[in-house]
Amino acid sequence: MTECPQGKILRESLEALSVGLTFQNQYRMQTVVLWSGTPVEDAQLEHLASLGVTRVICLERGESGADGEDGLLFGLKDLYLEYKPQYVFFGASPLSLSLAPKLAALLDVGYVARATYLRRVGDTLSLTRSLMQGALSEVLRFVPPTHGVASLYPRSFDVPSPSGRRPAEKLVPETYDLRQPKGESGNREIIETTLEPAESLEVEDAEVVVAGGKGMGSEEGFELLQELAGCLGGAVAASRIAVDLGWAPKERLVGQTGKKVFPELYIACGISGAHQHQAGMKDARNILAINTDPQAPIFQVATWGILGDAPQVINEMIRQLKADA
Amino acid sequence: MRIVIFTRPLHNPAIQIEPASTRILEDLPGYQPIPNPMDELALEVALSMKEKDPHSVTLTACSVGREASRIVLREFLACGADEAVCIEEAGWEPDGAVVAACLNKFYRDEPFDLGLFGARDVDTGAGEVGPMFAALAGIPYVDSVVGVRWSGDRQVEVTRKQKRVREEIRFALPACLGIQRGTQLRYPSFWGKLEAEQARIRTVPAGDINREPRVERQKFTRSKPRKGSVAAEYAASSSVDRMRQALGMAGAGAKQKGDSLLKGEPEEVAKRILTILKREKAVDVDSISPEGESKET
Repeated sequence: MTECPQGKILRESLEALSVGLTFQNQYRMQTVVLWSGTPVEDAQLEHLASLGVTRVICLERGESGADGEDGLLFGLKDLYLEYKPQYVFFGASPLSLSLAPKLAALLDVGYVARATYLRRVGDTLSLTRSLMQGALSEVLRFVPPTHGVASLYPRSFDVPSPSGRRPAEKLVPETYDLRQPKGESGNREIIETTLEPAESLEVEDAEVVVAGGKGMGSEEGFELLQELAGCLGGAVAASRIAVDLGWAPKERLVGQTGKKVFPELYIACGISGAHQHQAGMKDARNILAINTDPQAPIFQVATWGILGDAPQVINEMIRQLKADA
Repeated sequence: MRIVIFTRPLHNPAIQIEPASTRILEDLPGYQPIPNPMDELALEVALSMKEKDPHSVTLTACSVGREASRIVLREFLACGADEAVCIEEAGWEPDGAVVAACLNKFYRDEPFDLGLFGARDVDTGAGEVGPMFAALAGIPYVDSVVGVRWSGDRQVEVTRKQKRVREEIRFALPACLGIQRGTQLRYPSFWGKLEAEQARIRTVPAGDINREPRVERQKFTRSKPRKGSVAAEYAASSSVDRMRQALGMAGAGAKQKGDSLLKGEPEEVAKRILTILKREKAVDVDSISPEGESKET
């Protein structure tokens, strides 16, 4: 299931595609991309072909004006019954949270949410998922083992990269017209949809988290962080001491007593990185730490480190980002 | 109006799970379940609705399982639920579809107007039971609800927030909601706790739900680093080497932490780190905006 809501394929969908392509390459299964969202563009088709995709079915709303989620659900169900795939993979997108389990329930097939690791032995696919914030994992399998629906834990799988081989044929998308299911969603009406400003982006939802600690020096320092977060499309977070000093609201607290985040990039500015703080952010994909103390524990978990005054470096990053854009 | 709040007992993380076991619950000594915190948010939403029309709204707390479910249901009674129903089904986990099928049978036998679920189970991070039940029952399900407005009629308006997209949705009952955020559940009163101790929890056998488990657990295991995570990628090297490698510095095996850090004038280090971030695709170059506002609109 590949979602392209605003002309750009969701990263989560690419992760699901990566799983499908691994099956295709290792087990000689065919991966079919079910495309949903804005119409597929030629460049996107070329990219999919370069990844090894040989078939794309575009789910189109057609003239029925099918409601997004219910139309998709019944379209997926019909396609499943027609093509009888072994597995359907969803990325960890907001849509998949309810779409994937609904599909599994309607089809009477197994559903495993938030898989972090997949392993196939014979015909049995084992799916591992994390429990209790990583304290334990469980290994599940579908019954029967050959069919099921799974959604993936965000960022557990890499996005696919082009194979380098020239695709044998040009990829020509097929279309499937979604229909409005009878009796469904007629009693639901979306009154208003708004895109909230970047400042209101929740810490847990952000791809980039810019976090500040005591080293930011003042509330004005946090305004700098907000500006950097705005430039990068991210959200601002804070350590315990910054919240206690009143520089950031409690909802922005990351750590053992705050929120746990898994962004693509976590920028720790003037945060020493006590283990209570690390409990909330060490699973970020990449960590950039800026601190004046070379012995600060944050550098133990950082991917990249800068030894320097955080407000000065942030100021300079903002200036250069604005100059480049 | 009848509102049903579904809750699932969670394993108390303080108790060790035996990795050889394939089941979490009720077969462990000293087992004490806790309610899923998001289910508690759902109960608070229901209690707020009841306050608006106490005479016509009844609140039923419902859970699928056995003894663990009863423990959790008693807490819901103490906080203000009018009645509690435990649907007895031994094979309720790990397949959420079995729970959904039990709830669907309950819905057929005893219809209700609004089903409230916690949007996620905080132990697995999944929240499949609500959507599965709604699909089986053929009623709408709205996920990620952060606000509920009800004026006493057969319509409910909700606010759904997914990432930065906020939607105001109006729908007619019956329907189900997955509550993502809300007001924290009120504390039980003294009399509420006393009454909950005495209250009868109605037990309903699951009966013929016509649904076989489609997922089974092979085993528990100790957690592994997530694929592609920093820990997995650089497991063999020290943190100093790892950072030197990431920064493109020559020579591993530095003795002091400071040796692996970017140093220099702010202008110079900012330029270097931005180059690295873009090269490593740690930031989405397309979304960088000069206005301090994401282009993703």
